[in-house]
Amino acid sequence: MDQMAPTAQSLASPIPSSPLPNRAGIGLKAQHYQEILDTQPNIGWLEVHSENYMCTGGPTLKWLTALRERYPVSLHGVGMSLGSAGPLDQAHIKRLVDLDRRIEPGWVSEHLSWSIADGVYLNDLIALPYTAESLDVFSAHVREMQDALNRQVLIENPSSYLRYEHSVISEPEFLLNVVSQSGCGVLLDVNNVYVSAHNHGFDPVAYLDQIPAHLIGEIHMAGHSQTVIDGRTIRIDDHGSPICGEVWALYEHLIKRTGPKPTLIEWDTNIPALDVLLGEAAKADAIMTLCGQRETHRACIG
Amino acid sequence: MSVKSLAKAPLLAAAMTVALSAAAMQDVSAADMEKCYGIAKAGHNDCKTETSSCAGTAKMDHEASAFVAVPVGTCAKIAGGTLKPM
Amino acid sequence: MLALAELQSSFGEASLGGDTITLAPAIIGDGLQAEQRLSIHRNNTTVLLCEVLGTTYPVVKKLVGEAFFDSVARAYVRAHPPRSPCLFEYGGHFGDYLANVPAVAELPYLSDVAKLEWAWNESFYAVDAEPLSASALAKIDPETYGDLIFTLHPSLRLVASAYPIKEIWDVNQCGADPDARVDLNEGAQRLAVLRAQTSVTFIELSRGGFEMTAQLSAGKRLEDAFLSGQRLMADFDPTATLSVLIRAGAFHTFFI
Ligand SMILES: [Fe+2]
Repeated sequence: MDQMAPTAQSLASPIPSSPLPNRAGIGLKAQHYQEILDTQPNIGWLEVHSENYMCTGGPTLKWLTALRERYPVSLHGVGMSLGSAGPLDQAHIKRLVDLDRRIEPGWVSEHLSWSIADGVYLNDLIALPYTAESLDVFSAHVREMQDALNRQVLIENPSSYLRYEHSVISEPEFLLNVVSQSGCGVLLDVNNVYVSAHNHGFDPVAYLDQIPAHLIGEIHMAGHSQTVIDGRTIRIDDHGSPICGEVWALYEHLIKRTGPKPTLIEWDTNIPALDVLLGEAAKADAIMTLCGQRETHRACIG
Repeated sequence: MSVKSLAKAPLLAAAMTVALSAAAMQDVSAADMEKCYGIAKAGHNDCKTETSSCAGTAKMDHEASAFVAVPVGTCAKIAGGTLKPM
Repeated sequence: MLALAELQSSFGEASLGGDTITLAPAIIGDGLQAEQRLSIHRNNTTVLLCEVLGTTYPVVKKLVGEAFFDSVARAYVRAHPPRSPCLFEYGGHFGDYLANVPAVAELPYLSDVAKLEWAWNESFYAVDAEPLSASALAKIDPETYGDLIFTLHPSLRLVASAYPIKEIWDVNQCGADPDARVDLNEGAQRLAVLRAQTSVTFIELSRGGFEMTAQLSAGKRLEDAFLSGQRLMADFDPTATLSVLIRAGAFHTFFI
């Protein structure tokens, strides 16, 4: 399949300089609105799920607007379903455009996945078969989203629990093809790479190493859990616990190559006290300081 | 305007006059927002938490043994039940 | 090879509890049955949407208990999956749905409590608007009061029940007295749900006051709305209703 050979390096637009600071940020949760506003912790930026703020009014939007005055914000979408064979939901695009204008985020991102079938929203990020058809559909939808927003978006690699018989290329190859066909950037979720690598038996380091540093606009870090099905351990990306040691090690490996990048601490279930999130963010900041300068690799622990 | 409604107008006018003289609009205040999310911190109900997430779940939905036939919650606190007309 | 549209259709059905016959051959087992891998996705859809309903309907959940709530929520999710990715808008039919669940026929107030929680939800996310000030109203010539037509605040919702649903809601809030009890014999309750500023509030209205407010929200003249209220309640005095609505900020604009 000639048209699917990775050509990202040659065709992709480089990431513009620092739409978010090259520091750790945290996912903003309603439980922490007041405390963040009151204490204004020293964190680089905040991220929210766009769909939670697509309302016409009410307190949540007021909180986000108030916090936006103090921090850069990244809008992370979970509902565009760019991988759906059907057309994108035009009303949803309109709401995202309105939110983008209101919040003026550093980045707008979405997932390399799909979640809408026959008009039903499944509230799940489902992997695509990596085929020529999927590539055409996905890339066209990314272009449509970027045209509507009039900006480059980032596409995040998903956690996956299954693969398809008819996939013809690997996920990182597919992602790089999307980049070259749409001009989007990459949101690289290190935990998702680790979870999928475990679930499907590939090498997470090789995956990370395939993504050129200049394409990465943002990094995600999160905790996951494990469940046993029929004697086999499956890792589930539930964002409900601290980031595990192996994922921190992968992060160090990545940062040594890429230098510091905006890095999100994602925590969406069993949400802990703000201090716990700030602690994880401080850890990421420390790794970026220690390992992020390309000349000082030796200073890095481990 | 019907004859009937003319006859009722004085009562309405008086009601509006009293209502307006008693009215004092509430202010938007930081204290109001504080109260709202103060309660959210403790639990739920009064304030909303996020409904959209990009995470999966490790909780298992046990399909087969799914149907729990009897509600056993705080409904025990609700007693009586003679229907009164609306 | 399954075309993408066909694959997604089958996947959608499988995630909502349907069969996996078409889909399973397209999934690489890799040590598991395709069905076991698909069950992870069925879980995500079902469990997470049940949690969304629990966020929107916390009082119903408390009333029936978590296990029962999950079983009813699961059935609802299967029957009425979301059509929009904005999940704060999901679950608007849950109150009507509960009215037809035989297992809660013994809890006849439950459907109305759900409708109150939905009204709370809609009010919370409604578009922000300035409440009409008492001073703006004070400038109106009293001669023309009967001809006033109001636009009500966009966050205003009206919920009536044959049961004391506000009391039921109250005793199920965090921090409520654990020994508090509600007597259904307290009877019917008619509520305006409003978020003029930040917090959603409930305003209890008389039978006539509720009818008058409903008529006003339908765009009727104040006098006609009052007369409708009076038809339902012979001794209806609109003073209390008008006072509480004006004070709470339930009016947005007016014209004559
Ligand atoms: Fe992520």
